[in-house]
Amino acid sequence: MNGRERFERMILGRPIDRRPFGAILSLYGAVLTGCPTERYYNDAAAFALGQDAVMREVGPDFLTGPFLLAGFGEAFGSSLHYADRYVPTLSRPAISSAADIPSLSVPDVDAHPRILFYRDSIRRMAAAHGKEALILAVVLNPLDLPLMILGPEAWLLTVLTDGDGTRRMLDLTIPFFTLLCRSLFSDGADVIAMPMSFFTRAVTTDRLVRQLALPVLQEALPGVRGPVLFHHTGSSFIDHIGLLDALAGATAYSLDVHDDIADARRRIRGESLLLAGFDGPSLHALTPAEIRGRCLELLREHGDDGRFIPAATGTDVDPRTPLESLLAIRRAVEEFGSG
Amino acid sequence: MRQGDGKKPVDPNVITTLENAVLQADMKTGRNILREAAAAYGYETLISEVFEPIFTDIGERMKRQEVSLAQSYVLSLMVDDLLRIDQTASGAGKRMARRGPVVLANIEDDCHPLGRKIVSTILRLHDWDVCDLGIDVEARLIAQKAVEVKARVIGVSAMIFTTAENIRKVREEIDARGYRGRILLAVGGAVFRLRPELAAGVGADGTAANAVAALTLFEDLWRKAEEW
Repeated sequence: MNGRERFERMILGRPIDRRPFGAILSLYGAVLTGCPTERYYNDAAAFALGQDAVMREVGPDFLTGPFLLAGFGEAFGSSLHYADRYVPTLSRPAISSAADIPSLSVPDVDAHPRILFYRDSIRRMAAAHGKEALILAVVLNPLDLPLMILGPEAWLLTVLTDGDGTRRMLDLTIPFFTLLCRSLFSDGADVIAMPMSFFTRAVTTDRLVRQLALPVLQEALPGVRGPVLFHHTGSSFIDHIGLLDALAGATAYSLDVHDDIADARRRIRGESLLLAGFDGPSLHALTPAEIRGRCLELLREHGDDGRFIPAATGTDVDPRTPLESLLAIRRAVEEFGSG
Repeated sequence: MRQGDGKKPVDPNVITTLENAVLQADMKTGRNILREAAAAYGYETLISEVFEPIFTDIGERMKRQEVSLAQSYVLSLMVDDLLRIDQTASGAGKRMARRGPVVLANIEDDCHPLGRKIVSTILRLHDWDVCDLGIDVEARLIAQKAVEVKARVIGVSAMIFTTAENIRKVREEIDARGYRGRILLAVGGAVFRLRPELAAGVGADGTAANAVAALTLFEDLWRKAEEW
């Protein structure tokens, strides 16, 4: 049984040989191939080679496309900061205030080099591994996308004080987002994974969720026309997970390492998938033995939850993480088997 | 904060409603209440009897990491409004800084000003003279400004690991100019919340997880710094 078959059977509630497992190993491919990050995040062939190595060395049940959030801003005119071993980050936003929104040009999803990098990476990954693993494409949702176009401060200021400016920006980002998601599905992505900053405790409030963030997703998601994984973005969004579960395409959730998995399950439908257990950026702080032990403990604790998937979430697994640590998760799910 | 002028007693609902506006990140409601309260009670009372309890409560929430970025930002924007009300009401120069000066900046290559701005606002509310240099500032210029204004504390912010590494250069600039022990270095930003041990690694004299803790840190460092 391969990863794709495990997921498909899991969703249908059929028996599987073992739990699927995975981690956000988008960047880790560069570690395994020794590819400089500037090349890795600009050359889809290099990125895909990295994911070949992830598949070969780790063998997860899902692969993640470029987790390059700032790149979406770059497509709108922002600039990136490249670091030796880490994912490029936002250097300078495309615009500095909502007043500059009219100067923005929305990238053509069929022509912009940055967007083509995302799409070609997914195409190559799907062609090479789509039959054996699920392919996740990471896309910023329409409310998070402006964080990379205006920068976090200017976008937060706009959201808090300028209803018209907020709407003008969303009028650009919602159609772009839906078109990009549909394009990625046509390229071979199985699931769109989207960070959910505006639903997390670190960023938002209940009022902002209900009056702003939720209506934006209600407007945008029907246009995506496919399954969606809501990703916690490094802070808990468990308070609002029940609201998300009613949205079009809601299929899976990745939880913060501190979240109570059973509590999350109580808040959502039984058929939704829950990915949780480890924090990718700090996984290197645990020994492989600790990881294996923790994974087995999670599997025993949540064995009755047929749609719980042990995974390292957060942002990318840190490059300092030894391969043995990732294999420890795999060994634990294999040891636990179908139990 | 300064003491109130003891005019009209403050309606407790004003405090509750204003604090709720902060906690719901409702800037529109907050601004309306602030404007009405300023007119009804005057600036000094607004500071001492309205903002003091709100700041204390939200400060406690910050220590427990229960305050979101949106809530912190709304609090900061309201304090900014409050400081503007003071200037408007009293003409130029009534509000005198009584502590400092200190220098704040985002380090070279870091263009994420939100945390620094919140700290700047909270410091100013507490009567610190803040020389805020903005984003993406070279270490050389930060140290140069601190010497120029006789700041005993520099606060430098960075969001990610790679830009945090640039803060080492501030340490080097301070030391090269012979001001070790006389100008102390505070650091903050998301990367230091996740990895507090990094503060010592870049040569900082202290770090703070949020704006309230930063206030205490600046007071501590100011006391520790040798007078010059």
